[in-house]
Amino acid sequence: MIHLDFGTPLRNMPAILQGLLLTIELTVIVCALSLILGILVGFIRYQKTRGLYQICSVYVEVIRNTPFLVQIYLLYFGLPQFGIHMDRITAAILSLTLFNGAFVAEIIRAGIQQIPKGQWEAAECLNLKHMDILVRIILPQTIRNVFPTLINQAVIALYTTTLLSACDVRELMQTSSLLAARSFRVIEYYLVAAVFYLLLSNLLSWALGIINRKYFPSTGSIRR
Amino acid sequence: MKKKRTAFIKALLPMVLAAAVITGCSKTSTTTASTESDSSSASSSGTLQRVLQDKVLRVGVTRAEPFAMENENGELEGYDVDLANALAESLNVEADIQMLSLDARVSSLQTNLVDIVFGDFTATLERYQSISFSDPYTATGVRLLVRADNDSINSLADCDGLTIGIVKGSANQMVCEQYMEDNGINFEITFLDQHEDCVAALRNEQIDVFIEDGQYLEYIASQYPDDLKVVGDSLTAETYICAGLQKGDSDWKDYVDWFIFTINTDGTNQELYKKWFGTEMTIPLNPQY
Repeated sequence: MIHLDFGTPLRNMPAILQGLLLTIELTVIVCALSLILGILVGFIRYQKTRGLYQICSVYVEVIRNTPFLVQIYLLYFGLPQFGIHMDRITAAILSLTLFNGAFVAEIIRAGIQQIPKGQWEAAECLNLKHMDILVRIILPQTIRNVFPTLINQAVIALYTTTLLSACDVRELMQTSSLLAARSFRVIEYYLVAAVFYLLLSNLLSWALGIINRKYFPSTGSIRR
Repeated sequence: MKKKRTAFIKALLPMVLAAAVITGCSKTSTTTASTESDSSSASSSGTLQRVLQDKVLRVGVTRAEPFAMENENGELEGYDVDLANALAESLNVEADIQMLSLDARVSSLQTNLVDIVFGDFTATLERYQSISFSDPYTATGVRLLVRADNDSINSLADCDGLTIGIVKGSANQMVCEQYMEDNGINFEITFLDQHEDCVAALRNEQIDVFIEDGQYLEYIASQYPDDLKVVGDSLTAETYICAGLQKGDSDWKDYVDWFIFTINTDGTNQELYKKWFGTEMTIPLNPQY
């Protein structure tokens, strides 16, 4: 009969909460950075400007079609063999931003393509320059339309941080794993971690949902 | 009003059912455990009986050359693998060997995923509180692996302020933390998932020292003779490698202990050791018969 002892995780709660804090920090930083990167790359992929389009296409296709674990291994353990050294947090943020940025880029590109041509034509009639149209008319509408998908991607970004345990970044997963290895209370620690991830992802989608309703209301969600 | 009440009851019903099922399940498992211990006074959990009945011995190994590794055909081979096959042969059953990560060794026994773990598994008092071990079948000392051009490190005492790499789930974690406490030296410990990650990190200068079994480190140093070297006397008294077993199954433990006694006295163990490690076992095993 397996006897579950939740006292051990409770006693080590400060360490677990530190890991939770790092997970939250990483998720927020990565979401912000990958949004910027994704918008830039999405634009370029939509515009199809000569040289940049090829580079961005290679980037998006490679990143989207390889597992994140492989990417973090290559970045952290592979690059130093070519002389590029970076500390663990930098490698973590860089790899996560690249990974999520590729997905956000595709989301944004699809969003721009969905904007009806009428918007472009009307803006051109008003003699606005192409860049102006993109930034001031098309982009706000795009973000409004794809925001739910971006919320989804933010939750995916949260779960991808768990794979950082491969290079010993002490976020929630690695912290739980190390504590479990020390005390052999494996089920208890991972249950606690699961509960934290559940709360965190619910909090994340709820908070982003509020931002969605407030700043990017679509007709269906305007409170009357 | 009636509608609201029935709706409330309808919502409550699945939760009550779920709670009943869960408590029912745990009750059933306790009753099965007690009936097993009543009916067969010989075996408390019946691993030996189960292995003989199902004709398969489930073994867990960990990738630590040359204890267990994959050859070019993708098959597992190594010192631990040979021992597992010898044990299965003695029982006249098949061995189903699977690779585990280091921190899965204890949990795989606790959750009955495998019957026995031959995984470069050091028996420590902490581990003995959760699982059981067989008698030792080999012994090793914990040493340091450093880069070949690093002459300043000869033992753990020289590691003040450096970064040490340890595989997650290894017994060496306790050894290093104890050393830090006892000697007032401060170094940073990095926990990585696999042995080869630590070797790569050492060569990339991301860590300065890799602490692991002396035997394993000698093997790694022989693979990279120009880059890495093994230094330091054994950090601890000899650590004894035993097979991991589930707790509370004394029949199975007796069988495995006698198996190990047999291979020790008839020379099989020494032969296999020489085959995989290239040298003879120098540390005498305890208990000596």
